[in-house]
Amino acid sequence: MTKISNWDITVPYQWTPGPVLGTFLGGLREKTITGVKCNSCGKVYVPPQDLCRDCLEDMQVENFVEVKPEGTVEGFVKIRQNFFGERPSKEYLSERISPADIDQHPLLWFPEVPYVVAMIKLDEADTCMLHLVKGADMDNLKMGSRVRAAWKEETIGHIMDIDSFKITE
Amino acid sequence: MANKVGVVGIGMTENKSYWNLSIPALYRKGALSAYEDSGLGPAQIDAVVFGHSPEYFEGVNHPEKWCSEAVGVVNKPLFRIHTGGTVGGSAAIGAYYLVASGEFDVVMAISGNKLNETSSAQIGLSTVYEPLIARRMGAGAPSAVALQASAYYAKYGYDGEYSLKVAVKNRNNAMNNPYAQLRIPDYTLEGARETPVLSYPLRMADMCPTSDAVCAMIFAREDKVKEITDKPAWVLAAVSTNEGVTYPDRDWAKPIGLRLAADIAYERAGISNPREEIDVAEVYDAFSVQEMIWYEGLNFCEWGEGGNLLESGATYMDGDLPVNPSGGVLCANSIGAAAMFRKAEAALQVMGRAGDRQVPGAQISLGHGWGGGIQFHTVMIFSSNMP
Repeated sequence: MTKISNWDITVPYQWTPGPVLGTFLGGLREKTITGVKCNSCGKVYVPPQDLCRDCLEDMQVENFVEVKPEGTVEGFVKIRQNFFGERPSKEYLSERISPADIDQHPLLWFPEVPYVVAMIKLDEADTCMLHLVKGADMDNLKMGSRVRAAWKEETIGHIMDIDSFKITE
Repeated sequence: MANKVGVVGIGMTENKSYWNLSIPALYRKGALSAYEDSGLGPAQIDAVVFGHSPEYFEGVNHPEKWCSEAVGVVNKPLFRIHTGGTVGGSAAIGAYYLVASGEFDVVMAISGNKLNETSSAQIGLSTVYEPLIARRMGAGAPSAVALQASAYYAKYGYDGEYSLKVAVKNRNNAMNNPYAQLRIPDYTLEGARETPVLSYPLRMADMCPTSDAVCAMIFAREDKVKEITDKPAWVLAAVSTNEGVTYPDRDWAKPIGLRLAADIAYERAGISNPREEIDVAEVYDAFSVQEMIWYEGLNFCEWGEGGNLLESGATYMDGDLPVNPSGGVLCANSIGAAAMFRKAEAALQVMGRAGDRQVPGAQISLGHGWGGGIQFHTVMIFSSNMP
């Protein structure tokens, strides 16, 4: 006979941003968006990367640039379905994982459905960044929509210091 | 100069939920199928290349530790390859390299997954996203491909209707494939249109199922091939490439890595006009829209012409270049085996052993794989004639 046992695996991790991505995250705390410009080809990466993917040059700390928090939607998805259908409650999760880990649980990271994730190319960047797009005018969202970052009141040096991008036109 | 290499045996398990087989038992089932198909036994296998996509699908690390016993090949070389959804293709190409190099005579590639061991493959797939800046937005594979789809539609003026037609084509093809998971009689465009939107613009009909499966291929050097079978599938080309993930001006609707792999493969195979010279192709259509994007990457048509190629009817079973006679990944996706199934199905076609899904008279076939951060591609070309 088949015997199926269950084992939820919870392993804590911490990830090292390094000085380049760390500068980006630190900038978010100050409500600024930081990119890095390749010394060799001049391409601007937002979020910044450790090396230029085109010329494989290491990025230089002195080449950080602050970019305007405005850009264009280059692709988007409206997510209508959570992985498990219903979003689980904190009470449900607290029976399964330690309370300290609940806020880090991916099932609670994601907003209530439906929500929109977009590839956003900031005007002064050559790469796209992923972020949420929110707003009352969602039905008007289309490729090429103009968006602007909306900040959380309290910022902690985290990608979600940007609450979302709002459609401006 | 590389040795000539032929495929001399193919093993497949049906794609479905196996609640009565453990992970190694499913690998054993796949290996035994390849032994039965080739007439070989473990003693004749000189090395094994093992593929298996991310361990979080089963929650068991190092599944290759079981593999040597499961396939019956112990005290011989075993190599693990891991390239996400491409892994089955990478393992096949790895096995091909080992034989082509002359180091080994007969090598088995075997790859699979039991996706039904996890309560959510998509939670696991979300851990593919970069942890500090992307994972909060990452929502599994469907949402990444939905971004790709929205970019493709906007760039060339296509819409979801084209993708649904791919889904209907491949689901109807799968009725001829006993190894497919989704075999749905009378699957219609009207029915596909009524399926719910899961990640706009993709509907449920645009998405692959969750399967358990293993696929295996046995590769042999020219002199051994002739001892084993008189109907091998000769390997004309085996190419893999990887695009970057974060490079500037990256266009998800334009897979330059696939075009590069295809062009190299065609050159090695001596193919100057792939649309004319390839008789049948199996591509990694994990999501319906991707089949059209891969047509373009594979140079079956110009950039932007994928939807029009579909509409022309050329890639249907009665067209001049049938794509995914097996039903493709849209009808069976174990991830670990899916890219190898593409190669194995393509090989079966030129062996003339593809059963009800056989394209009559197929001489040259192509099998493709896709994976990673929409970045890895594998292309193999097979022929019924020795190169």
